[in-house]
Amino acid sequence: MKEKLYVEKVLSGNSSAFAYFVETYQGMAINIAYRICENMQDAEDVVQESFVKAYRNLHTFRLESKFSTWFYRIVFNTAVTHTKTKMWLIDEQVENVAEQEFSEFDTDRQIESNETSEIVSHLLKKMPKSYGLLLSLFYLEDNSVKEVAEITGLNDSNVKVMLFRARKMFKDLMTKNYPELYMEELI
Amino acid sequence: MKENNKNERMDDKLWMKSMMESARKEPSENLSHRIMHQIETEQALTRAKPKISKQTVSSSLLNLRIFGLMYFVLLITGGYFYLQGGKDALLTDTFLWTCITISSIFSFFFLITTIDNSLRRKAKNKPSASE
Repeated sequence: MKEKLYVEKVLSGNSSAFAYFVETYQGMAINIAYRICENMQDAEDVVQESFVKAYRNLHTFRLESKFSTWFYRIVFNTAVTHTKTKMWLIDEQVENVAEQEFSEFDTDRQIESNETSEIVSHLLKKMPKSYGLLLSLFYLEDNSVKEVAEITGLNDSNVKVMLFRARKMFKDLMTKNYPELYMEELI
Repeated sequence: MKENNKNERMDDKLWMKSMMESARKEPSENLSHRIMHQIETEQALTRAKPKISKQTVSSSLLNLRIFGLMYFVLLITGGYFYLQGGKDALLTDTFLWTCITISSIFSFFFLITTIDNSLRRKAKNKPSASE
């Protein structure tokens, strides 16, 4: 309801009303862009570009749908175009991650600090981009499977399968490499 | 058993959520200012830019012009036939076919103009490639 009001304000020429959308959605947008670009500078550029695109094309937004879903789809597309990545080609990447579990990881563990955030970031970087993105969309913003599917352009069942695999991979990596943290968090 | 599974799933979800929350990235403080600055600059430039695009003729005016001209031509033709052969000339096949030809030409012209106008309108509403 509130969003509808702001959309109407912006469409009637009050560009400063768009600040509401910037303040509300920049946080999640940066997370989506970061999962695809894998660096903050590019992610911020993508978010900025996405907001400008959203502003220019606000007249095409249907008021009965959710602004967040519409906007995150723009962020997703902009980030994919920006990085020129093929998001859903993950077979090879998955194999690489499996190899890393046994070789690189042990050495990495010695260098790493014990901060949970750093460990999780490290694990997400080891996983395919698409898995990190799906986990972020599903758990950070509490998007439903349907909404995640709308944002990413996948179908519902693909999202479910990939989310299951992503969760499993995340847990496996965590229990294998940081079992103490896994147990600690569960307790 | 069912209840246990449900609790387990819930714990799992909460655990995943807390893990993902811990890795949440925050945008830099000036990002929103950068975005709003760009948007306001664009808005100002759009306002300042003079409108150079050719306005499409409104459809009702277009109908009036084309069909007005058509009826005028038909009237002239009728007048010519009347002057040449009197009342009977208006009932001949030649006059009928002349009328049909004239109205077909004008209708075709009207169709082409309408399509052209709608294509122009679509192109105008579509965001440019740079957007």
